[in-house]
Parts: sequence; C-alpha cells; structure tokens
Amino acid sequence: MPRIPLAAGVFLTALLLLSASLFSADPSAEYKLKAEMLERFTRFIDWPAGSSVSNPSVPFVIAVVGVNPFGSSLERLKEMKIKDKRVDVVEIKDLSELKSCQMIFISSSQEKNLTEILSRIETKPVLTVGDTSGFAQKGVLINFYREGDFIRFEVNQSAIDVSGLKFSSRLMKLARIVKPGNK
Amino acid sequence: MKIRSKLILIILSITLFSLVAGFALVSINDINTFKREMVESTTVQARVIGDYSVVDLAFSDQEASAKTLAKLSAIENIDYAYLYDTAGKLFSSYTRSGTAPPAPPVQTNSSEFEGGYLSVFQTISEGNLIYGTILLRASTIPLEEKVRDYLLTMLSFIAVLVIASVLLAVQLQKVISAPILDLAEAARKTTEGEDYSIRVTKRGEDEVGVLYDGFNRMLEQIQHRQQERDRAEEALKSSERRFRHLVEQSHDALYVLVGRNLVFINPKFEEYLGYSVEETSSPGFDVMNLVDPSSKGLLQEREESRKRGEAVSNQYVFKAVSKSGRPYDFEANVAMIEWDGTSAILGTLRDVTERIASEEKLRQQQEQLRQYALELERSNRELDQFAYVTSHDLKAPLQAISNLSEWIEEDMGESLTGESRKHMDLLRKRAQRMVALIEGILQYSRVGRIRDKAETVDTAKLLADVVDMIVRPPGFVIHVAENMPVLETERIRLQQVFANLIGNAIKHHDRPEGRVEVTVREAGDFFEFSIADDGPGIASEYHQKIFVIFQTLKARDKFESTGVGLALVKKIVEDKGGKITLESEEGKGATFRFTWPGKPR
Repeated sequence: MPRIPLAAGVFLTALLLLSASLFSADPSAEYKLKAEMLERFTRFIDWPAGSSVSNPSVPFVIAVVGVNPFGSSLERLKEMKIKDKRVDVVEIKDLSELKSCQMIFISSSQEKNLTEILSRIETKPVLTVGDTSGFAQKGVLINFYREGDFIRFEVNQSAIDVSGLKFSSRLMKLARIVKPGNK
Repeated sequence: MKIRSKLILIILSITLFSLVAGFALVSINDINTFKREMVESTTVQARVIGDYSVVDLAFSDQEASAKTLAKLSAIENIDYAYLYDTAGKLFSSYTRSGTAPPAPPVQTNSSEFEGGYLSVFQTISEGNLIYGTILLRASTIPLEEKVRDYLLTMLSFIAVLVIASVLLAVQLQKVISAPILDLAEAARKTTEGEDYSIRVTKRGEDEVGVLYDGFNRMLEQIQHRQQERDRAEEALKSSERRFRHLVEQSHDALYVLVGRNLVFINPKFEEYLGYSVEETSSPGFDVMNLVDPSSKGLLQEREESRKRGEAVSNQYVFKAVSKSGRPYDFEANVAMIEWDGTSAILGTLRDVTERIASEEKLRQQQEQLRQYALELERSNRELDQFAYVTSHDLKAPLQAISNLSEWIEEDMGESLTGESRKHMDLLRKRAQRMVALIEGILQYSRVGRIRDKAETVDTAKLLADVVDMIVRPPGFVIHVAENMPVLETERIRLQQVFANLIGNAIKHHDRPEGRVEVTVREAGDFFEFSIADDGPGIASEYHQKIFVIFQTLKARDKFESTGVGLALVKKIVEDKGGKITLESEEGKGATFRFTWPGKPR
C-alpha cells in the first residue's frame, strides 16, 4: 500500500495552519482551507462495502456542482490519494453525471437546484458538502459555516443515516448536528 | 561458638540469603513490572487521548482539543498533558490544577521517569498520517505508594519467613546437633569425671552413628587400658610403698651419689649426718665433707682405682663426721646403679661405731689377756721348775737321812734301847713320808709338762698289773669288768689314775673285807671308767675338797697319806681332756667316774 511520506503530511498540516491564520484576509485562503478539509473529511468517513470506493480500478471522484469557488486549490488534491485511490476532480455541468461521484461539493450557486441534485443522489453513498447556510437542513450531509475567524461544519444526521456512509464519532464530535427541516 | 549456634547460623544464613536474594529479585522484577505497566497504561492512555485528539488536530480545533484533553481528569494520576502539532508546536495543554509548567520540547515515542512524573510522548497517527504528538505527565506517587505497600508486604512476609526459619532452624538443627551434643556431653563427662564406663546410644546409622560406635570403642579401649593402668599403678604404688617403707624405716642410711652430690638420702641418713637432701644435692656440696680426714685417703684411693677401671670392693669401713661434728664409723656397701639416666652409686651406711669401739676394746683386752697368759705361763714354768728342782734337791737329803738312820741302827746294834729304836724307826718313816710327798709333788708337776709317747694300751692287762701290785687285806675283792678297751694313750698316766683310785678305795676302807668294782662304758670319743667301792663313803661337803692338793680328811698320824693322790688324778684326767666326778654318801660307799680319750691328744 503506498504511503504518504511523513514530510508531505507535515507540510500539509503546516500549510493548513498557515492558511487558517490567513484566510480571513484572503478569500482564496478560505477555500484553500476548505479544500484541505474536504480531504480531511474522507479520513473520518467510511463508504459502505460494495460501493465504487472499494473498486481500486476507479478513481475517487470529487465533483464540484455549480460555480467552482476553489480555484486551483482542488487541483492539489489530485496529487494525493484518498482511500488509497487516485483522486479525480471534476466540475459538473450536467446533473446526470452525478452518479459516478463519491463526493460532491454543491456550490451556493446551485441553491435552487439543490432538491433536484439531492433527489438524483437519493440513497447512494455520496458525500455531499456545501457551504451555504441552510443546506444541511435541506439534506446536504456536511455544511461549512463561519464562527468568528473559524470555519466550522454542521452535519445532517438523518441524511447521513440514509446515505449509508459511516461518520466517525470523532468527526461528529467537532460537528454541529442539525435536524432536517429546520429553517 | 557452639555447634547449635553454628548450625542455626548456617541455616539462617542460607535461608536469609535465599530469601533476601529471591525477594530482591522478585521485588526488582515486580517493581520494574509496575513501572512497565504504568508506562504501558500511560502509553495506552496517550494513544486513546491521541486518538480522541486526531480530529482536533486534523481540523485545528484547539477549543475542541482542550475539551478532549479535559477528559483526562478522569484519570487521576495524569497531572499534565501537552498536545503538539506536526511542527512540534504546542497545540493545546491540560493541567489537573493550577497552571501547567511550560511544555517541554517534543520527542518521538518515548517514556521517562523524572522528578516524580512519568513523561510519555506518543505520536498521534491515523491511517498513514501523523497528526501530532501527545505528552502525558503522570504522577508517580501512586506507583511509589504501590511500591511501598508492595515492599512492606514483602518485608512483613520476609519477617514472617525469617521467624519461621528461626523456629524451624532451632528445631531442625537438633537432628544434627543433638547426637553431636550428646556425644560432646558424654565426652565432657568422661574427661571431667574420668568415668570411662559411660556408653552413648546411637540414634541412627549415619556418620554420627559411626562416630558413636567409634567413641564407644575408644571408651572401651580407654577403660580397658585405664583398668590395666590402675592395676599397674596400684602395683607400682604398693611396690613403691614397700620400698619407701623399706628405705625410710631402714636401720641403714641410704644414699645415691652422682658426682660429688647425694641426690637421694633416706631419713636415717639425715638422722646420722644432719644434712637434708636439699643441702646434699645442691651444687656446692661435696660428699667428701662428710668424710673424716683420716678416711679421706681411703676414699680417694677407691675413687682413683675405680677411675682406672680396677675392681674395688663393694664393702668398706670408713670414718665420717656429721654436720654437728659427731664422729661415726660406717660400714658402706655400694653398688653401681643408673639414676635418671646417669651412672650413680647406691650406698648403704651401717653405723658400726659401737662395734668398732667394742672390737677395739676386745682387741685391747685380748692383748692384755695374752700378756697375762704369757706371764702366767712363764711364772708357772718357773714354779714347776722351782718345784721340781726343790723337790729333787730335797729328796736327796731326806733319802740320806733315811739311809743314815739305818746305818746308825746297824752301828749301834744291841746298845740301842727300845725307845731309841722306836724313835729311829719313826725318824725313818717321817723321812720316807717326806720323800713320798716330794715324789708326789714331782709327779704332780710333771703332769702336762712332761709327756711320754702314746702307745697301744690294753686296759684289761694294765688293770691286772695294777691289781697285782696293790697290797691289800686278804678279804678284799677287786673285780674288773671284761669289756675293758684297748686304747692309744700314755700308759703311765692311766696306770697312775687307776692305781691311785683303787689304792684309795682299799686304803680308806673301814672293814678288812671289801669289794672294788671297775667298769667301763663308751661316751663318744671317750671311755668312761668307774671305780666303785663299798667303803664308808664321803660326805658331800668334802666332794670338792678331796681333789685339792695336800688335803686329807684324816689325821696324818693315824692315816698315811701324802694328800697328793686325788689332786694328781684330777690333774692327769683334765690334762687328757677328761673329767672326774664323785658319787658318794656317807656309809654307802663311793664311786669315782672319769673319762679318758680313746685316742691320744
């Protein structure tokens, strides 16, 4: 099993901490951090056995739906491995492409399409992430929010239960739990 | 140290060493285990809390991290916790109370006890990723308490074991020590009490049993030897007692001479010479001090002779002087002996002072007696000579007077009156008597002075001649026994004896008829002759007197006698070594007995 060199990890963490202190001044820094956090989430979430994640021949696909706020930040994720798989980052224009993704970042621009997007996914084991207030209540699994200088996230527990994904309790510990239908 | 103490000491030493060493090893091991367990549990705690902190680190949530670390409050001994990020920078920290000391520099996985704390660094990783490092600082006070309790338990356990060991050792050492102590006690009894009749009863067939057997055998032998020794000692003692008694009670002085010292003297020696054995055996003493100067020459001569190897007599007499100056004559008897390995002289001294003195006196007396005897012999010889010469010279004029009176009678013839003739006759008779008297004296003096040669004499024939020559009344019978012997002797003397005795018997007989018996019997080398008559007898008061010369019992005028006869007979018999005795009572006759040697002397 290929391992990430220790130096790489140290570098990433350093970078993460650096960006944490910088993102407030620089809006691109905020998405840089969020890009890192996307990768971190995968570490504490297990996809169910038998899903495409267990198929080593296919890459781990991260899809961005709508306007991509990350710029080139997501490109760096392609150099990493998630769940021992090559990482592929795609931008989705046609919602029909959603099926082959493992993780979907739903841009705030797609707020009106959110219900459709979520319906397309239905109960498939796909990690949905957003950074728009109210997304979690609407069925997005993880939603970033701001708290002072810190970027935090909230999770929809019932949506997670439906998705079949398994969230580490440790991850849950950091998350704000939202009930569906709130707001 | 007693064997019991030694055994107990050995047992306890081994036990204590084993206990202490064992318990020390176990304790060290256990304490290390306690430490390792603490390290392990703290490491586990670090891992657990690290795991909890992974997301905190992953999402840089220091607030959440502080909360996570605060969960450590459930673990009482963890006082401090520090969480470092991957850069080694302090991410968050925890303190049970107060403020946490500054965080130490980050380390990779390690553990260290220091300053009352166990510090455990644990790298926090998840999957292949490292999120940071956790440092837990756990107080070691509980560990110390645990170790203390553990050691206290161990020590009390050891104490109990030691007490048990002491009790066991005291009991178990008896298995070995008791038989040995019994043996030692028996040995002590035998040596102190010299009682070798003691025997020990062995308890087993081990080496001590063999020792017991050996001890018993040894005692038996000692007892046997002691009995022998006692017997020998007793024998020696009684022998010594006898000898001591002999030496001390001896009437002779005893001494042992080594060189010039008397190394031993008995009480008698001290009594005689006044020296003690201390004096006589001291180096300054010289045995010659005891010797009178007059005897020193004799003793020196003896000593030199002995030195030259010449034989010296074992007995000699010498003069000695006691310490107080009293002189002694000693008869010494000496013998060479060995005394304490050196040659010595054992001597006895017998006090012969009195003997020597009396011998001297006797010698002087003998000398005087010899002088007297010589003088007496000379005077006797002179007297005999005188008597003989006188008698011889006196005889001649008397013979002449006798002859001349005859001649006068013849010349005068018829003119001589009867009265005158009677006087002439008387004159002649008196002259004849005088001649006879002188003759008797001559004969008497000749006895022992003039001796004839001895010849074979037939006494029967001799007596027959004597009887023929004797004039006697016709009624007298002289009877001679038939068994008269033949002797080797001086004939004339025996004839004189018989003639006198038979003649006297007839001459002094009071009746014209009488009887004389001559008999003989052997008496050793002598013959005893007896001449018995039946005459008037002799009163016992005269029995001695009649043998004295010139003694007659009747008046001369009435009875013709010279008074020489019996004195002569006695002298002759005694000259021959014989004896003459008389048995007579008045009116019952008299018997003269005399002994005469069978062989000449």
